[in-house]
Amino acid sequence: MELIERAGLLAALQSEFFKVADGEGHCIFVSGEAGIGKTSLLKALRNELKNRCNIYQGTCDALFTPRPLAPLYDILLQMGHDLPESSHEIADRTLFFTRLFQALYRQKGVNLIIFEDIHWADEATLDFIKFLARRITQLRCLFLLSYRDDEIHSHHPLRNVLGQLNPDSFTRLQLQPLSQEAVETMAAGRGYNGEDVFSISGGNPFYVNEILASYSPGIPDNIKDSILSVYNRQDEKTKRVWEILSILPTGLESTVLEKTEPLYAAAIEKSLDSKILILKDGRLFFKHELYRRILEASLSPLVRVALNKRILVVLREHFEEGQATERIIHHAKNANEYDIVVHFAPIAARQAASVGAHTEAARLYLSAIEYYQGDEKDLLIQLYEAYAYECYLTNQIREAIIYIGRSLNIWKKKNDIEQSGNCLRFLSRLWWYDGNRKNAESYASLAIEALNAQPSSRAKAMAYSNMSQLKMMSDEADECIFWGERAIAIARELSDEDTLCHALNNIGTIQTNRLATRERGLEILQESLAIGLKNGYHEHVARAYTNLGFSGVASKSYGLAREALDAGIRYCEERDLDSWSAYMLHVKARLKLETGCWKEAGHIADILLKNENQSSIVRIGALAVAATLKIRRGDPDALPLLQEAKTRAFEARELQRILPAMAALLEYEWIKGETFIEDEALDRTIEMIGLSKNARESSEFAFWLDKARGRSLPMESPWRWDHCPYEQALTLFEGDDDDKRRAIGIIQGLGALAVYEKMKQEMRLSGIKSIPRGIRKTTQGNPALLTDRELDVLNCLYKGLQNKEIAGRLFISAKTVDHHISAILYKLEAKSRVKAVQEAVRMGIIK
Amino acid sequence: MKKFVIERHLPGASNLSPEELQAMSQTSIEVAGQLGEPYIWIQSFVTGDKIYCIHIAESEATVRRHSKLADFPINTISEVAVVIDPLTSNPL
Repeated sequence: MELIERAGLLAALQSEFFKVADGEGHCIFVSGEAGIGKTSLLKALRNELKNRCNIYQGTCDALFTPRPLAPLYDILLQMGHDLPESSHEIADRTLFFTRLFQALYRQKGVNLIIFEDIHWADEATLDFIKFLARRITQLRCLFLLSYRDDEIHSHHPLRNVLGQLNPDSFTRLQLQPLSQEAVETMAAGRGYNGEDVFSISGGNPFYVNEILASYSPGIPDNIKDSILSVYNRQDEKTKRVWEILSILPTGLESTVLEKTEPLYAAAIEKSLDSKILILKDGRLFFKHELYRRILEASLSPLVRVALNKRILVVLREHFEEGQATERIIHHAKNANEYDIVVHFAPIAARQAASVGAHTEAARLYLSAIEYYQGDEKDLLIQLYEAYAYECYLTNQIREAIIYIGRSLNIWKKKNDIEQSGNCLRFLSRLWWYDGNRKNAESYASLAIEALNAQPSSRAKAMAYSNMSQLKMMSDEADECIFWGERAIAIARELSDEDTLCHALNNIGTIQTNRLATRERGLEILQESLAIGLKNGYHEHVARAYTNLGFSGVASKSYGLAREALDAGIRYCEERDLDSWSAYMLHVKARLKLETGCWKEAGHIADILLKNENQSSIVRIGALAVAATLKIRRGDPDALPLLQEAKTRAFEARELQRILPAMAALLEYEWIKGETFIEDEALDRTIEMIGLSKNARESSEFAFWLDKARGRSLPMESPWRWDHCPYEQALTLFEGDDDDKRRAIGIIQGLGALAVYEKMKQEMRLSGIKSIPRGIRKTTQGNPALLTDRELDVLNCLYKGLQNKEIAGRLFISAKTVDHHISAILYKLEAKSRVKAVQEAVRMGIIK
Repeated sequence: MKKFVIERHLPGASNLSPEELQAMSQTSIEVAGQLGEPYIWIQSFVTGDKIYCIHIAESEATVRRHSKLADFPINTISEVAVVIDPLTSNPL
């Protein structure tokens, strides 16, 4: 089939390839509705490039749950590498990804990797896509991915993936339907009426071709009739072959079909000749998945069930245990073979979980639960708890709560106190994640009550540690240490390094919050980190880095915080621990905000807020940062963000969430000169601060309380804003006239328009002269906020002109030129004219 | 006797032909008669991918027996606590 109206896209893809060949790798996401011609386009590209690079292609399965990492196995096979025989053997997924990355790195020449139909990709494959895409610039590799944008509903994980990638590392290409002219030309070529064909097909190339293929008996009303009319014209044997294949999304090995239905060989040949069936890697498929789907949907449901039953028998006969599990489950579901689903689904779920395909693992466990018709409590508990754990990992917290609840009921009936206690503890953790502090606390207490009288056990240690963690979050130091030490005692007794690591983290963190115990706290945290790193306790390591970072920011030890956050984010990104890196990123956003790196702060906050599935805790932090930037710059719509942050923060009941939200609202009050907070909320916050004794954390809040409401809080020691340019400027503004001028200059440099205006007003009213001019509208369009004049000078510099020449060209004095150049150097953060020009080119200011 | 709502998963159920529907109905009635205890199939609602059935039987176990003999799939069975209709809104 020749490509029509795709020459432009093909050329674009080829030019991207040449760019990669010359420099660094890139990703391209090719999208379009089913039948739009993505496969044909990619096939044409392969043809063009086949002698110029190594080509590897992987496909994703359209099964109920796909085989995890299927496309990776495809390309490993093509690369000719030793690979683990099944996903059983992947002990460490990150290691597996890294090995593949290194194998690609060592390849000679340029690589073209194609993953098709990634809307069907399992979670582990999506993680790999993120992994590779984030590192693509290090490889000479063009990574092409295709997907159906009409099958990506609003919560599809692929949307998340795209949102988490660096926008510079990938391009998106969307295929459009054929134009009316093109369709009419195609139709005319066969002597048909193009208008009808266009109106039925909508320009979809697959539909156009199908309609034209079956046009002669009469115009079909729709595409379904078109395909069915072709089907009805076939002989009986061919129809049977097509029926069988229609229920097989991953096709069928031709050898298997020939063995089961030896009489159909001729029919198969005929279909291959007419190209309605194709042979790919030894498997028979319909030429297009749409074809298969339409045929499948037209079958009588009873016939479908019968066919699925038959295929199930065939698959189980021809494949070894563990080789076609996902296909078997798919067909067992469609055949209503409950026992088979219940038998195989947990096996596939375990495999999926082991490579990090937790979404698939959750679905499989749920299937087993739903299809289980019996009454064996032990099996149910196993399934409920496994399912709940996968839900916890895939952020389906409410679902996890329901199923642990069911498990708890069974343990209670069996009078198993230890397991009941464990469930209660897990429920406490889950409720905390859901942002419901009240329930988290009550379950934590119930867990301890249940286990207190029991002998030492892991469950008991964890229940104590869980309570210690809650107390740490709400800054209740004495209780945190009390429970933490009891947890540690049992953990040491049982050599339970996992719980030990967890508990040390809690008491270490709480102690870093007070000046007197800070050093000791940091030591303990480092001890926890070391245990975690030694044992590969990913979550604990992530938490240790997080708390080090968080406590660093709270105590304004920005250097320490930066180190911990950078190491931590790197650790998490290497292992795809996304919820932890998101948490650390929100702390980093706050770090950047406080140290005056507002651009970066805003950028991070925006990325975090884009993810709709973000945890409430992270969302609060990101909202506070984003809203603060808005109010300082005078952007509209800050208030709804602030109010959302405040509401969520109070639900979470933790001072560390409440303070930033309240401080931001108070700042807003100061800038606007209006009231936005009810006294009750303010009083409650102040009360919580009084109870906490954690002075440093509340310094921002106290600062704004004073400025907005004129109330001061008793503080241990006055705070210093050593590395916080914004707060320094505000404090400076309280000085004399010259101080005020300098302060307003700094505020202007930071881009805080609203604050600048406010200060300007004040200065005017006090009769101060020579107020530095504001940022003109034109500077807001370019990233470094250069004025028009500065841009002119910069362009002259780019052309290599000397100061005198620039002055002559722009009709300004040489001194003014000097002045502009210093401003340029400052704004671009460059040390010389040459560097300034380089930076400007890099930022796209000079084209 | 109790009333039960049964959910049966059958992708493409709305495609069932009149002949198939007739055969299924016949099977249901015949099997009901072979159970050796009172059993009534009231009505079934065939939708795109599922069939919802209303049966009256002594217990859930009997309903399951019926489905097994008839070879009908069961996804869920729920016992009906009370049936209401517009007349239920009349003042008490």
